[in-house]
Amino acid sequence: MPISRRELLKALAAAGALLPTATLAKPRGRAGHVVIIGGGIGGATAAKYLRLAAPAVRITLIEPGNRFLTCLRSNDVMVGHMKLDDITFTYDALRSRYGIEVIHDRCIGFDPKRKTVQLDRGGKLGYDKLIVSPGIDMIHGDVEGYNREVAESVMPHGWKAGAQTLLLKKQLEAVPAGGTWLMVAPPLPYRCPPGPYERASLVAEWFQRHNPTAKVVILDPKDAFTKDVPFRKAWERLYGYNTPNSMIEWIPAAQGGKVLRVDAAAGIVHAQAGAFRADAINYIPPQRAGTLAFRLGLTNRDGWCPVNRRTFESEVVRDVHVIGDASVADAMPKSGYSANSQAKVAAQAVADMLAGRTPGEPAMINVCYSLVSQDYGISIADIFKVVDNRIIKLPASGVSPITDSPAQPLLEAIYQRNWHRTFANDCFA
Amino acid sequence: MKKTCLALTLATLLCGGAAVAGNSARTNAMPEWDSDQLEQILTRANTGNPVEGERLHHYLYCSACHGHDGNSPSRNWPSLTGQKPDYVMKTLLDYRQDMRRDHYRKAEVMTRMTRLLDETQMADLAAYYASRPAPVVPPQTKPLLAKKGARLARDGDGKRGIAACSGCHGEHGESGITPDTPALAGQTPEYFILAMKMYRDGMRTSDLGGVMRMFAKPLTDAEIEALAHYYASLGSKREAMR
Amino acid sequence: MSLSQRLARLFALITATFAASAIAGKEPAIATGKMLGDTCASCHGTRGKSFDEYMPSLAGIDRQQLVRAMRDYRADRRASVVMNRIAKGYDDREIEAIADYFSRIR
Repeated sequence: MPISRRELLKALAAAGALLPTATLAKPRGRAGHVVIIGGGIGGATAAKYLRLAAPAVRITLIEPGNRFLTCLRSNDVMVGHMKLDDITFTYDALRSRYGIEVIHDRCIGFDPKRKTVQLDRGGKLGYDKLIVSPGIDMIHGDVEGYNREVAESVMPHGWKAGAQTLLLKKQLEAVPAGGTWLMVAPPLPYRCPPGPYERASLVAEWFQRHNPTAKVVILDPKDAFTKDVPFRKAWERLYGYNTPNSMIEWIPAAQGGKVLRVDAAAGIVHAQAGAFRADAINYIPPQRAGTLAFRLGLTNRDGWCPVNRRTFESEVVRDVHVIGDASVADAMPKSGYSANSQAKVAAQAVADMLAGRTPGEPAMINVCYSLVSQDYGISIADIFKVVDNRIIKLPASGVSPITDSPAQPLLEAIYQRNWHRTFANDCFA
Repeated sequence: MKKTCLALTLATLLCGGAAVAGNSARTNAMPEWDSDQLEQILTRANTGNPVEGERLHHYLYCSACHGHDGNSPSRNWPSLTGQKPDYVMKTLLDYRQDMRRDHYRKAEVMTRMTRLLDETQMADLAAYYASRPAPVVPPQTKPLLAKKGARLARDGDGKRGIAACSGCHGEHGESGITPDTPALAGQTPEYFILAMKMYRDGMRTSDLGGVMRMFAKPLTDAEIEALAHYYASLGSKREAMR
Repeated sequence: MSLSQRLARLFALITATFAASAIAGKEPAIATGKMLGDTCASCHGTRGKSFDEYMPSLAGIDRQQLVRAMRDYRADRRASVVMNRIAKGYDDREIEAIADYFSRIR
């Protein structure tokens, strides 16, 4: 009796369910199977660069969403200079150009001994190497009165691009004439260290045009922040900072910037310096590694994922590499640029290990551009090396110098806008 | 001089108007100069102060892309030394008036940079670049291709309606009389190729009356490349001052 | 061989080994040109391919041109907005490895 292909497959699948999973999950071919979980900047870059380094390896990317919105430049969406579409990218090129299998599903568990991951709808998937790029999650319960519900309604964080970005935009536009827009900045470590200050700057610029007597207040649990020297110089030049008419007021920890509790209904934030009533409140909470990292048991006591700094292989679970914001990367900031750079190092290490080679010396970089206005950019650029399993920053690079040339901040602003396009291509296309 | 005028007149008579009309049919046509208006404004081109121009070249980061001494160290951007003042002035004005594309997109860097300048400063920059010798032959110049380009540049190709480039740009690529005929000697070949292709595709519209668009139209990629290396090879022979 | 002779020999051996490793230590391992080049790709495009108005392509660049550009940036001989800071993070051997990598890409 002839058996149809479909019936054969069905029969095999049924038999497979009875076999030990590891046997079933063994990938075809000798080149190996790499599963990547998380299709953000880290995961997408890892998939693409692994393909460039290892043409024969089977690569599967697991990501629930079918589009990705970069946090990069989402501040521009908030103030109306860009649309959500401008920061939205698909997985089409990873599929068609790089032969990466992209599965839109959620990883709900894994078995590190048998080397399988459990998908929500798609069953079990075996791997030789697993790369995870879990991103971040918000910690909601640290301050009285602030919880998930408040974060999703009256005090959005907007720290993941999408619906909250648009909510922030709506709240900004609703600030009455002469009103106050207040930001609660997060403690370190958090995603995109200059992000809060760029956002506050662009809000001030928006007010200059649409609501010139309104004010921006930043409550900060820190006494310093990245690029604070060029940021504050630019605030002086553009927004009257350090004058009685400053549009931006930055209240650091030393001046009582730490928040004690919030009253969401009244729109009041109680900080050490006193009570602040505001017409719009952007609360950016403390952060930890994304839920996935916890679910897979990859985190340390601080809520981040310790890794071998040369390969990004987890120090907790073998053959699992953790990249991006969730990883412990010492001097490297939690930025998209860092995630992209770490993804390339991890991809090369995975390709080397699968081929039986010892991974070579890693090379990493981070460049963060920030806009202080649409025509005024500043940046930080650093090169990193690994010494004794610590990522150190080489001393020579650093922050934009302050010059009196009008061309310098203007060029940085133009570079920033164009860079976003090139960078997204390096990750997704 | 006579030859130049002839070529230009001929070009304008034959196809200048047609080329412009053809281009404006594109969806995103760029604005173009009224020749009287341009002539008026270019009278200032020869009044610049080269010392002030050199200061601006560094102060405004022109040097970042066009080179410390105006010899472009990159393939993306043109060298500016030895360029004639009215061409530089016109180009800066083109950018400021939002008339230019670069690399097939609306030019952003130069458009924004030129808005930092007034016309006196533009003339100063023009005077500085004009005061310097022609760019040094770029290291990537290919002598074999240069040889091929030489014949076409000197003689053109009458059968295919290609005029001799030297008619307008000078026997040695030292430039011609109209404000839109630049010096080409020593120019970065990759930049030259890009500019010619943009003319050919009607994407660069800074030529008065569409003359370059018309001359570039029949050229093949290989011919453009040969011309690029020919003109690059005509640059100064000495090492760049560093 | 007396004990003191043997000790002297051992000492000489240790010294020689130490000296050899110290010399080797002067030339620590560097990343491959590709690994270093990948750090450029986040701005200059994957494999250095991005020919546009603001970002120069590195693919197929003349080797010496790139070496000279990086050295000039590093020494602040060439003005730039970002590159002079970045170039300070690479030593001569790394710059040459980067130049080898990009100059061979077609």
